[in-house]
Amino acid sequence: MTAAARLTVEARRAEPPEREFSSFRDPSGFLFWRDGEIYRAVLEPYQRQLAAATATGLYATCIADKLLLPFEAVDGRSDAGAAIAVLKPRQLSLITYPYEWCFDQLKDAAIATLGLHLRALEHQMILKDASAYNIQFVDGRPCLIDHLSFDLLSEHGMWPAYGQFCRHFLAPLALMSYVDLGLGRLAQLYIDGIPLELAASLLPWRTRLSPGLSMHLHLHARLLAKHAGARHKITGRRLSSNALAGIAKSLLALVRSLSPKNQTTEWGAYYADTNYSDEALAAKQRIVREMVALAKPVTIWDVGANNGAFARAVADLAREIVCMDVDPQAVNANYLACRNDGATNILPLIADCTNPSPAIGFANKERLALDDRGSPDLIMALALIHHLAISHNLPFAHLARHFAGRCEHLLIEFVAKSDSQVHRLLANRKDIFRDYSEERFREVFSDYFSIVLERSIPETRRTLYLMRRRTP
Amino acid sequence: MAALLMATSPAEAYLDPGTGSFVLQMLLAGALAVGASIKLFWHRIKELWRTVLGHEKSARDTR
Repeated sequence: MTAAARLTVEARRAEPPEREFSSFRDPSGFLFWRDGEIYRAVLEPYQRQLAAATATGLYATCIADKLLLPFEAVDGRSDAGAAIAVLKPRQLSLITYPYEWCFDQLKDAAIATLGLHLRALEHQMILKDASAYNIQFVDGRPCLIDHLSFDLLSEHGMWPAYGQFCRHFLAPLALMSYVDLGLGRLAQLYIDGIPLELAASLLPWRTRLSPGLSMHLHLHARLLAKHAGARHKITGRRLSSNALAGIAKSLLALVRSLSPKNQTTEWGAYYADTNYSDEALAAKQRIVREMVALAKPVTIWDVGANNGAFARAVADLAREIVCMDVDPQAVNANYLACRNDGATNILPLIADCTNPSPAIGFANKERLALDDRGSPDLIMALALIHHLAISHNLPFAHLARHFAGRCEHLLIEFVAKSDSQVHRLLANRKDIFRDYSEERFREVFSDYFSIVLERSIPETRRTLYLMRRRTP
Repeated sequence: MAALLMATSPAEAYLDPGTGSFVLQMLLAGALAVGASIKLFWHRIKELWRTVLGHEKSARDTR
């Protein structure tokens, strides 16, 4: 054992492990934290399944296909009580939730989930959970993070996760496809997926003419309602592996056929409607790169990222960039661009910085608020401050304090009141924003940050600032 | 394929709010089996038709 490894073991012995609060549903095991890293304890009820998933090569196949988060078995059983094994998965820097994903992210996560189930069936196993929360975007692609989601096929007559799959994936996808792109957010209200009866009532009548939706969603909703009250024992039937695969393939074809609703959103065509000339945009990109290179961040959160054009411009300067925007169409465009480019370090997310995802679930601790899930080294807030200060009436002090609580470096663009885009914001409203000036902006932000670099963007009334948080 | 899809054996379950999902899976398995049978049947008819046409064509060609 190396000295470093000995030190790690000593540290583990010194500090008791902390069980992850949200890991309480599955009797097969639980997650726990040790020295800032997460581990999975496997309990006795999962012994046969763990052996089967390993021996049949299911784990190896899924990891090779990048559908399952890589892990290693470690010797940490003394940390985890009655555990029969301890797995250390690849560590993720930010956990995201399905209601923060755009249409094509949720669609790809659904396809990955069905792919995992079909692979499991080929190995005489089954995917017993189809929770969208078990999927995370790793290197740009959807990946299962719950290694205990597989069960022995012989233990099940039907696919136990069929209803869950339809609530977590099919219902929000259908709603985003036929009703409104923003309805993915409905999943935030329903932690175990959108009730199918609700989805069926919101979908237009013509969706009953789609064979896939009429079966997997409308008929499903009716049968759930019909059998919900019954409590007597019935004799069921056991479906063959081929029948289960047939159902999964039918769902796969349906999911693949769905496309995001073609609608006009507020920020969907932002870059077709800016007041930048090509030269100004190129200059802004150059300055942003210069500032990011100076800050040397490992992680960046690009707030108000729109389609991620500037994140892509600095993608080589950071290990991970999370692009956040409120517009589902802009986030979808960003995701598709990243997917087409094979970008592995950019994660687009639907997030509203004026109303970020709250903590939800039991005791408000199952799913954490966005701000409690991580903090970046650098926040980029490009062409954002005028929207926050004028459209949302947010005072500079609130913004400066908020950013200072989240990051070491802030790259922020100040947009002067004389800018044509600010004129648009004020076109039909009373100008009550007397404090909105560059001088006041510098003054307030200087209480929390020191200005490292400032550069005017040529041909514009905008200035880029790189700031560093003052030490308290 | 159809025989495999229809291959079922008895199992016991308790009715619960998810029972509708199980009932639907049984219906879907049946529907998929019927669909697969029709597909197979149609494929065979097409094959038969091709064979018959092929024979007629070769008979005409040799005349």
